[in-house]
Amino acid sequence: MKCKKAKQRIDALLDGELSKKATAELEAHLKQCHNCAVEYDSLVKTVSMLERLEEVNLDESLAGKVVANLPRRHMHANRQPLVAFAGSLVLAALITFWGITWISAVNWVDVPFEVVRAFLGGIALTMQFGFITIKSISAISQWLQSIFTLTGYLLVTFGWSFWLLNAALMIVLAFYLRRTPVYLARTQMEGGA
Amino acid sequence: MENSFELDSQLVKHALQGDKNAFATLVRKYEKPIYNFAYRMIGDAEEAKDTTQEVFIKVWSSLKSFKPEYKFSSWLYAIATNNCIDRLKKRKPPQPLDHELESTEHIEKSFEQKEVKQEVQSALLNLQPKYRAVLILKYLKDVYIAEISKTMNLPVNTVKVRLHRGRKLLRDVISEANRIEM
Repeated sequence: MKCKKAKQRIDALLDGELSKKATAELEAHLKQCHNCAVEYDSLVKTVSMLERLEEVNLDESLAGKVVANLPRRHMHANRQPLVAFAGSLVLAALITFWGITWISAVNWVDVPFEVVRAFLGGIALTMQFGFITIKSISAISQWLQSIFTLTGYLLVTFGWSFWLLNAALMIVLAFYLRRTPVYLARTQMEGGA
Repeated sequence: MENSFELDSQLVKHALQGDKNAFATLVRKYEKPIYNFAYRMIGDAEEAKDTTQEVFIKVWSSLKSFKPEYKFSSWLYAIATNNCIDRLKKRKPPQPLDHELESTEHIEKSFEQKEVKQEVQSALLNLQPKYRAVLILKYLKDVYIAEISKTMNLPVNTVKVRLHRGRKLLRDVISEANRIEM
């Protein structure tokens, strides 16, 4: 047996997963190979030292403190992402609706714009600023109107992306929750080795 | 006679209905093993107590996600492992060892003269938490590899790799500590 294979078998033996036949072959190799024997002995001793660590005494029961600090209601672990999902749906709906109102230029959207126009017009008329004319105010208003409309389109696009993202997240979430028995534990778990 | 598995299921069922006494019974049953696990993971008695309390509060909050076909203790260890790892991450990291492995010949001699258990504990604390957790579960809590894999949602091979590497690292840390002191 080669040393590389012997070391794999040492690991398997310490895991408690080596057959009798393979154990006998390993023992035969250990008798002949000093390096592997040292490797085996040192690992066996390490495990043995670890196993000899004693139970630590807990000087008081923590049950009273735990029960006193329990939250009033159970929060279903699976409900947390669902609440977040519902929240994002509402947000998506709001953004889409907002965008649509901007595009269709519902009256209330024009209100601040009209206020600005009236304000500028008022200044022009009363203070007689030469550079602010009715014509320039009209140009500014059209320009602002285009910006509002463009913003509306962007918001609608953003809103629809949100809907799509939500749908994708829901599928992933459903898959994940089905797959993992211990959702809470998994969320905090590290990745691979 | 009711076995432990059925008893736990009954207690969980009652706790889910809001019975705090049933939950307190679960806490009393498992607080010592969880405290011990946390102590070995963290190395500080007070922090281990805090962690134990946090674990049970988390357990209460997520009882509905517990599947009765799983062992309650395994589920507890999974939550405790995550909690300890989170707590350790928030600490300033002591340089974890993941260096080239080496064999030793002088472990036994020097350890017979020293506070072996204390040395093993401090060596354990020098390992990365992912190795520490599987070593503690396997050798101090007698949890099977398959069970560790299932509760931690890790492939069996990953658990084995961590175990193999963890054993060697632990040996090397112990060996290194003795070499410095000699």
